[in-house]
Amino acid sequence: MDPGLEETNFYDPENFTYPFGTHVAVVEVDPGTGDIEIERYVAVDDCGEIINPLIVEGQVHGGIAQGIAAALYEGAAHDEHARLQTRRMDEYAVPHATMLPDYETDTTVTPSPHNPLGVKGVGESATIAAAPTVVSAVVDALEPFGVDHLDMPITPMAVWRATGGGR
Amino acid sequence: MYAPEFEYRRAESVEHALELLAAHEDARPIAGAHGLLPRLRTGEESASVLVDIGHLDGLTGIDERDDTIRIGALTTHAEIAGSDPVREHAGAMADAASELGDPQVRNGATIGGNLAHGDARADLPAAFLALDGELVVRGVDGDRTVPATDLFKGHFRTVVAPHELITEVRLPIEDESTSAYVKRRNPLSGYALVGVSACLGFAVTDDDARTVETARVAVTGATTKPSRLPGVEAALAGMTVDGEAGRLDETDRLTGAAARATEGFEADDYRADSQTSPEYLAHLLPVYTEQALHRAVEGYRRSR
Ligand SMILES: Cc1cc2nc3c(=O)[nH]c(=O)nc-3n(C[C@H](O)[C@H](O)[C@H](O)COP(=O)(O)OP(=O)(O)OC[C@H]3O[C@@H](n4cnc5c(N)ncnc54)[C@H](O)[C@@H]3O)c2cc1C
Repeated sequence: MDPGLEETNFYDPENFTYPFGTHVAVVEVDPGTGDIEIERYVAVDDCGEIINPLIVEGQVHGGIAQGIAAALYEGAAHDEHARLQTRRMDEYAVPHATMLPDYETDTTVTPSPHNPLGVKGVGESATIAAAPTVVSAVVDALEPFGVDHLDMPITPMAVWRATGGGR
Repeated sequence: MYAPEFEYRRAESVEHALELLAAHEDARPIAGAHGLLPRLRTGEESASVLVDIGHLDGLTGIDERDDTIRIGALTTHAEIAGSDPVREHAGAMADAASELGDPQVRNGATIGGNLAHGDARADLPAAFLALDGELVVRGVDGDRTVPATDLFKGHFRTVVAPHELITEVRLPIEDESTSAYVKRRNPLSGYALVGVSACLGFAVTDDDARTVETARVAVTGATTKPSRLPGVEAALAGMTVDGEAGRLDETDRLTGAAARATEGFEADDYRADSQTSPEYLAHLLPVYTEQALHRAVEGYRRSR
């Protein structure tokens, strides 16, 4: 047996707190083509004490992109035999950087009282916020057309239909 | 996905390429390989021998001669987008080349490959149709020319045979004319969901007004093959777009002409995908036709 010093420790917090935040989107919708333009996207997230701000902001950017993608672009389609119709990258819409807006991000810092560092998670918080933020903004924009619900992804064709196109 | 095995032959000249193509069953030329290789990988196309023509001399460059712009088949989209004579006399082709793909694709893919491929979502076909260009196609028996209106037969189907080579693309230079291409990118692929090109030629009347003498308008992307839009062309003929007529009037008339874009197409003639339907594409077609007409007319005004 090799000599050495080994120690294992587990930390099991007695309680949790969760990250929180508020995202706001301003969208412009063209009922003629169904195009949706995100004019402004503001995100304020709270993940407790921030150890590396660059990583936190990076997580928020990536998360918003993923949330917007779910809201407006990405959708798996199946035919009547339940066969996947969106198997390839030219059949399944993943937005490019050029299709996404600039993000205005900020943070508030509410330390977690349940761990010595005061940290909380930030991994997916922006993803969770972005999809309903964008969907709610589009639905709000289409209120004059009597629209109060739209399924994701809200493609331009979905907007066109919801505003009376094709009827 | 990997492409199945194929033999790779590097041609030493156009004649050598034609010999290799004629000698091997199922041989295909490759130029930039941005069109064919992806389809070999997905198994949508097959070839036992690929004859590389990408490096051959004499098939690149843009030349302006005898009222014609001549573009070598191996000229890249980036070169076309940046060419002054193309921008000046065939604006639609410069627009289409600059709207295509991304910088990497524009620097690798060639005009000959784009037009030979016959992808119904490609950008150049609409401009090629509206500009009324022609191809010089060489086979073992010599050259023939193919007018734009004869080229496209369906999705990935053109009249260029696998053992023939496009050597040159010719675009006529017309006086008092203007052209433009507008594109709605498909968010799935970046290709044209709807691409419309318009080319208008004017007669100058005594009061210095301009009357449309020739009108050629064409669509790509939205339909199963790139096609001219005869209804729009008929509506534009004889229309005055300048002079005493007010701009508002002009807008109304261009809208009216664009509304005829769907004439002659049935639901089956549109290409729908997972995020579109024939009805939606039929709705978008006049919208983008109108944009193309405005862009062409504005370009003409600026150039005078
Ligand atoms: C990521 C990506 C994005 C793209 N986006 C777009 C887009 O937005 N719009 C668009 O229009 N296209 C787009 N393309 C497709 C590409 O621009 C065309 O397919 C391309 O122009 C083909 O040119 P190439 O030189 O690469 O042809 P290749 O792939 O070498 O050949 C294509 C076909 O043409 C034949 N061929 C090639 N040269 C000749 C010739 N001189 N004579 C006879 N036959 C010939 C080949 O045998 C083959 O059948 C994209 C491609 C990629 C990879």
